[in-house]
Amino acid sequence: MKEEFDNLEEFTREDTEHALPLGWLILFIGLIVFGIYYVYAYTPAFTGWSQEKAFEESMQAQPK
Amino acid sequence: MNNEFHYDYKTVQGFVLSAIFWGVIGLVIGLLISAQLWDANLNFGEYFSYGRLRTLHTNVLAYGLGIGAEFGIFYYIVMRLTKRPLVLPKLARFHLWLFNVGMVLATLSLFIGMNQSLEYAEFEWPIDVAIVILWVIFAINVLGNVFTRKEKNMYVSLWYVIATIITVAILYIVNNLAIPASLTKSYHIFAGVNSANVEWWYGHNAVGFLFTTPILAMFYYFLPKSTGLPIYSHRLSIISFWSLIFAYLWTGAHHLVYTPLPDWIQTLGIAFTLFLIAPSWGSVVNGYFTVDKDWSKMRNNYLTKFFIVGITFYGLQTIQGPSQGIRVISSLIHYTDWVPGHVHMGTMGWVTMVICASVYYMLPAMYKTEIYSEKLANIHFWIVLVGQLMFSITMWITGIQQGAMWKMTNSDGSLQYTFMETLVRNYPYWQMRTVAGVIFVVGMLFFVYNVLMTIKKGNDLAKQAA
Repeated sequence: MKEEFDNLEEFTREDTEHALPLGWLILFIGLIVFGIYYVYAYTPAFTGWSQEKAFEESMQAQPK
Repeated sequence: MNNEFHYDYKTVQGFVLSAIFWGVIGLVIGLLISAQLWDANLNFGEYFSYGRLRTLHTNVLAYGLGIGAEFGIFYYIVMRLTKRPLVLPKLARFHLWLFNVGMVLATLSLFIGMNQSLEYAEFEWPIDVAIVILWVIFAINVLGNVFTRKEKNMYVSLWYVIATIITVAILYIVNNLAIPASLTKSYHIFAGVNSANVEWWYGHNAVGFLFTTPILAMFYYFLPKSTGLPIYSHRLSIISFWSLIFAYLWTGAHHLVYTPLPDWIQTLGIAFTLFLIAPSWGSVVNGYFTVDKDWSKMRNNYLTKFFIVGITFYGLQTIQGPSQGIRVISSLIHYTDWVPGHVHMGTMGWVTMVICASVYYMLPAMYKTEIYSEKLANIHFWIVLVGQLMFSITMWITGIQQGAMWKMTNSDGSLQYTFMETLVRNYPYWQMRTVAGVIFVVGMLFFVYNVLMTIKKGNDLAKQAA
């Protein structure tokens, strides 16, 4: 018995081949923007935030 | 369109059977260690104690079942998508034998306690050398086909296959750089925090490039093949691919939140981890929109639900995972039993689901027959689904309980609970988890039976024809 080839067309949907759903695109760009902000906000060299300092503050905030 | 030649499926078939063999061993060990957690009497001497067997469980299932199946399924996908038989079929057959011999030696080495003490990279250096040779053979076979392909366009599954091969090679070699002290003992070339950073760069991306990219390669190939529905958007699949590949390698540091690893590395790791939601969900959305064209496939085609439920767990996994990277969540659930709950949603709900469905599709195609029983496949589906959900949910509950108890303090600042008290509270959940594991394994036995009977059917038909 001979083999049947896969036809790449069976994987390609012509009407939506180049579609990017808007909701997904917003998520994609949103996460990039958030990532930049997050790295800025939580890097000691940029804002002075540090894990150590955050821990000290949380200990002082504890009610005695 | 017909061609002049036959594909040689023998190597693929060999890998599928090997994967099933190692899978059964790994699952049985998994059941035993789950019971050892709540009954210490089930530890039998040093060889059958939890410490040895837990490592065996993860390695045998990740490398024996996971990679074994991936080798076979990749050879199948690559032959189909490059429209030519394997360039070096004998080398591929040698690859199959070396894989099984290597698995036996690797398993024994862990059993007798040879261990680098790096999680998911436990094998000592002689085994590492063998694995690198094995991987190079695999790379030559696959890339040989890609370079001499008869189809100009490369479908997204091929990109995922190539990414898997290249990235695993880099990760494995770098993290296993060690100075041998003897045949059975070596020391990691990196020390202290550097060792931890490299290890989790490896550890996290082992998940990414053994349990994510290979399974996506299968998903993108077998979903359209088994449903007859073309992938919704080629552009979405390619953008998701490149952004996933780009972001993954930066994320390992999220395993080291609240450790001496410098704050900026942790922060960078967390930012990339959160970003990964987007490329992961690109594939999820693509899968849903593909089947959206005709949801009746969920009823009419028994494989559709494997892929759709599989990609759903992938979607849940890739929201849960990045959330766990966030500092405040990590501080609650890291080091608790939440983590195995998370891991097993991925391995049982996504990886195994899609591998099994791919095998169900490939077998009839390779043996020129029908699946032995769709009914048994449906039973398999529902049983593993119940087992997996029960496993994950019990572990999440007890993990949160555990993390909360560890953090509770009395008014003078002392800890409210001893470690033992938090451990004892796990017992009922650990027992339920064993029950869940038994349910899952029973489901997998339906799969194994169905596979073996389909092969038998195919062989009988071939004999009759000859």
